[in-house]
Amino acid sequence: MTYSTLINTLKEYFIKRGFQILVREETTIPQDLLEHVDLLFRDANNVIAVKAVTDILEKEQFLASLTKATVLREYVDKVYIATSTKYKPFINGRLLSSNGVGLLLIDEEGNVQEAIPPRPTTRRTLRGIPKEYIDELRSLREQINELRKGYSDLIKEIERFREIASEVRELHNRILRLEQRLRGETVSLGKIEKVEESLETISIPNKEELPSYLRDNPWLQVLSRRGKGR
Amino acid sequence: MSSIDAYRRRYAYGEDYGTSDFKFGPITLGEKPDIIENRGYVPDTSSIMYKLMGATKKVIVGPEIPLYLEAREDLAERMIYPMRNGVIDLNDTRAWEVIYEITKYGLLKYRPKEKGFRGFYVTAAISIIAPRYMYEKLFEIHKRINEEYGVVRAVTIIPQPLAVAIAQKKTTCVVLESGHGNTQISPISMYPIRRAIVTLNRGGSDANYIAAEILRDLGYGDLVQEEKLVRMFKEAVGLVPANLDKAIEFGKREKEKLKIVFKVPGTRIEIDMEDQGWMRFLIGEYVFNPNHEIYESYWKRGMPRPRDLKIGDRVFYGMMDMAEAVIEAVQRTPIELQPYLYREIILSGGNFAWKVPPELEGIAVDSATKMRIMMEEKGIENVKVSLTKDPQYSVWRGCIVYSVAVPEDYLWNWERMEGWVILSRE
Repeated sequence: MTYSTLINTLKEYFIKRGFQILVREETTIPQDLLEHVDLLFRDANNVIAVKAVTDILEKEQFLASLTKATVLREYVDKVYIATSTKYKPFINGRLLSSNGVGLLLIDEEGNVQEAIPPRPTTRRTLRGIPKEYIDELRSLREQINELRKGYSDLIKEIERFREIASEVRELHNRILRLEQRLRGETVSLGKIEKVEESLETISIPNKEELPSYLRDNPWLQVLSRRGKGR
Repeated sequence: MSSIDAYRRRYAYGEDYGTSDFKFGPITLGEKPDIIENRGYVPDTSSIMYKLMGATKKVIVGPEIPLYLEAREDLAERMIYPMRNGVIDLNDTRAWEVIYEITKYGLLKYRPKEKGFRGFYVTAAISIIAPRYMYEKLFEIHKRINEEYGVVRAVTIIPQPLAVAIAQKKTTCVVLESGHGNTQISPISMYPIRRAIVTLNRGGSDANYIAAEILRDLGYGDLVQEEKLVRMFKEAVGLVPANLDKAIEFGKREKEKLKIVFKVPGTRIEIDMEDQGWMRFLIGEYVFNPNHEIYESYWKRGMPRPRDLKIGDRVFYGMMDMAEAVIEAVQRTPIELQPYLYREIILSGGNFAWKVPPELEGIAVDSATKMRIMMEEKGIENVKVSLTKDPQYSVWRGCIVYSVAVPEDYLWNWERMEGWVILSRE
């Protein structure tokens, strides 16, 4: 049986059963495995691959075809090996069944017999992820990278703001000191009663009373939050 | 600032258990703590002096020590420096007795007479490599003192590098704390990053060894047994070179500029370095990098070589230079944090307090400049190194801030190693 006869018979067999022929580009099968596929069909959501074997001269040849067909199961839902009925003695049916690969036998009249049904694969990892999901994942990854960069920039900005805040605090202190001095000035102008009032209020702890290492120390705030959630 | 608890504003108390000195006192001391040497003298109870003084104490601490000192021969045996390496053995009862005495000495010296006094809020600072039992022992000691005298309301313990960062007002930095026996490099970002700590098995004592060898070379071998004298000599003559080879070359050429006569205070002993002034650079360099071949000859004649040491899970590196150690520590922190850490390297501890005589500027440098030069040689740029202002006091100051700021309901937890142990609830 020639290769073209075999292929045409198989096409007719699958189309009659409502299967749709697929071109190679419509699948996710890697390039190096495509040469081991002769026909591809779609049945609803399932993809079926068929390896046509025109002649089997020895058992090793059959085993080679089976190995390649088994690898294909990673990428499609069902895999068949198709060959002429006359090679039946060379075929180890148990080996096919255990590997989940189906067998189609074609006689000289063009009758196709499903001698061993294939076992649908459960591993559809690569095929199972639709392209739009992969695209979305890629887009999310890019967004995460952008966010990371933004976060790093933000940290730098925060550090800069901290420095500015520290300077502002320092200026604030200076203003306070100046204010106090100005109050002192009013004493010399004779407003003694007023100044006595302000001296009474200084007994409340304020910055100027504190040792230098306590004044404007950011740790005061950091430490006072201990135990209130890290 | 009105958020500062008025009670703690008066009764916050700090204790810095340094390797050589014990700095202590309440917040009301202002900028500077009280200082006594972190040592205790165990007098010979049969001595005339002991009987004359009518003393009953087993351990003498503080300014009274000189009154009890006897022959110089047994000084080393009877004088105990409990924190020599930052760590005290669990079973070293004499050392723990000294710690009890100096702690009590401080707390009783500043015990207020006011009626409202219900005990100090004590923050004690110890080495960051101190094991858990040291924390337990210190808590016990404070508990005992409080039971005896009612002077401690709450106590907590923090690592010295954290106290330094607090006193320096830096919340993200690397603190190098170089003490008597070792140097701890501690990255800090709000909390000490304990997994990133690198420890060098090298500190002021190693510089003392070199200073002692130099004293021997100068013909004063009989004095090297007295550690305090060796330390004073080291501090008076030691210099940090910008580059050791160039500095030695300069020192041998310009002998006059390096001449120095060290007079031991309070005695008639004078040590003249004559033409050997170039040796002064060996002392400072050894602290930062002991890898120069010139030190080989000292090791060969028996000077202890800094060796790698494994204590528990921690390796104390002997020969790693100071810049390498900083890089090693920073590299153990998250990458985003690393540039910020390099931007604030703080040098703390007496082992970084090296003077630069004006006539030797450029040849001799201060510790911050030395570190910057070493970091740049290793390709680390944008480095900012600073020496702590008043290095002797910074740990105590950090303790005071801690005592003032940490909320009273933040109780001690062994997992996070923070919080108050409340000793009195009156």
